[in-house]
Amino acid sequence: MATDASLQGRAAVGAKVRLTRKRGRSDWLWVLLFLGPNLALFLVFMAFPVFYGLYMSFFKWNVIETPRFTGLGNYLQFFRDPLTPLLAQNSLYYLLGCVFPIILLSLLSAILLNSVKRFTAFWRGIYFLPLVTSPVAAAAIWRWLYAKDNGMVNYLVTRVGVAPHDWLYNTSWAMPALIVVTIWMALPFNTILYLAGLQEIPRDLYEAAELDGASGWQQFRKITVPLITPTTFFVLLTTIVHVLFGSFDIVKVMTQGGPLNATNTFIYNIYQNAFQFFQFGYASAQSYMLFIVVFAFTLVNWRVQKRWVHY
Amino acid sequence: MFGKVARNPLVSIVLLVILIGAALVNLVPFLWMVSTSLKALSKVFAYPPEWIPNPVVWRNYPDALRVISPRVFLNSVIVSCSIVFFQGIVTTMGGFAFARLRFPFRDQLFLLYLGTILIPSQVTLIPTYIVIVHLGWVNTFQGMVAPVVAHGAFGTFLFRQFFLRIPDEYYEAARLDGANYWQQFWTLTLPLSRPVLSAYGILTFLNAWKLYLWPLIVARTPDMKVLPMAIAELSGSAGENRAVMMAAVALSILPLLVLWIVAQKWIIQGISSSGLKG
Repeated sequence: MATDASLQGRAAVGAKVRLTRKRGRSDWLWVLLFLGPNLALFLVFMAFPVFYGLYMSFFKWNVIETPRFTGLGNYLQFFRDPLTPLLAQNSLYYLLGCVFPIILLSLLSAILLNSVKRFTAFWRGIYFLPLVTSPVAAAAIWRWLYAKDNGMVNYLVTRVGVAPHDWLYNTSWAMPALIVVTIWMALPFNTILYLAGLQEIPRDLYEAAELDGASGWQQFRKITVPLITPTTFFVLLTTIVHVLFGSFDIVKVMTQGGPLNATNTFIYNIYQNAFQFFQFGYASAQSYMLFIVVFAFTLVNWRVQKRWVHY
Repeated sequence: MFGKVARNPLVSIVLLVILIGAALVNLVPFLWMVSTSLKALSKVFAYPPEWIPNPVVWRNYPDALRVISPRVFLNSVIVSCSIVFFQGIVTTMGGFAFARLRFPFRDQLFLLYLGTILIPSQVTLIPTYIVIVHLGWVNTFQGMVAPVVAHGAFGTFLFRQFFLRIPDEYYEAARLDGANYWQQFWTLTLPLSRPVLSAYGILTFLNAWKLYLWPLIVARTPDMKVLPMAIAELSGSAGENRAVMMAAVALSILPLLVLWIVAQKWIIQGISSSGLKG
């Protein structure tokens, strides 16, 4: 009996092995079918360009002449270019000017929206409205708001006693003006993320805190802020990438990097170098330097998240 | 208004003032856009600004349509819909492969693929353009669409996560009925994924409609322009008529606004329930 059962068992195992093997072989066709389109696009438009860009960065590469190998020439030029420090400064200014207000304001908006108990859909609808504007459309609307002679912004600031400015054509005001537009555009998406994050904080924590007599501010400091840190971490990472790389549209439509390069960022300058001055090699080197910096920053961010993100 | 969050009426009033104030900051640019778009040119530059257009000039809208032609609209529709359609196919099939098919190094391959999200698109911008040039796709729709579809790692991730949550028993049952992988994908997986499919589709459409940099690089002739390009050109031109300009911007936003009003619930669900929030 025992041998019979074990024989049967072995036969069953054998059959199973054969079955999976057979399926295993024909599975490859299915893998190819399902993953093929994805893989093909990925290879042609992601993997190849990543390496090809690196390759290009070692050449003097414009449209007219044949590409000429220059070794690290483009990278040396990057460090010698007088524009580089200015671009770095502007990019950092723009980034920091956007990221922290975006985190703070979208968290506050989310808390506000979360505590509204009536006409919830109405308020959310208004707060999320900028989501429907493209950066180009937003830039066009805000250019009009910022207009020097009869713009709405100048009208409002003169009402409260501030001198009017030609916001977009003033070297010290142009960047803050762009930052305001960027924040305005980025708030809805991040507010939605925070709203979702808030909903995951257990309600009884607040109830317990209330029983202990904690004030609203204490509840915010001791419960909301620490427990929302996973969302904050995500918002921080994505906002950096969105803001830095999405800045192109807004800069292009509102200031073209001006006045006097006051709003010229790496992203915009890479576009200029590549598609207006046709210095593909140098622009590729710039892209790679930017990539390295962003990548390093992301790594650091991952490493230090243990210190402040509470899962 | 605020339930028991603010039982103190004073706190309640302060919150309400902040709530309305912030709402106005969101709304004023839109209201000003609509107001300007209905003004006579002579009234556009009135100072102090007038909120109610008098007389109301509807003609600005047909005029705007002459500048951003129906052709530009059509191009935007073609490009956005193609991106949604092809990215939908590619990402759902990829997600299915990574969730349900078995092959060596599957999960490692997936992680590697997912890692490409971290590669900023500007790094691949210039070499991708060179690829497009060599394919002869400059100034074509496929040139505008294909590279964008290729940036679908996030969607693939999204669908993989969702497909993994579908109970194995369903697939067992389908297999017993003799369903092959394609049938399992088409008649079982996709119908069960309708909510996440529509959310992802709408979000992708919103983003595709807003694309500017890549179409700007690929398009060469006026008949290949998409909406953001037309708006940007108009906004920079010297003889720009602000009223017509604002009408054009309003028209370019209108489809997204309608989509937003119809599908707001799904979009928010899509953003918040998709595992997107880390």
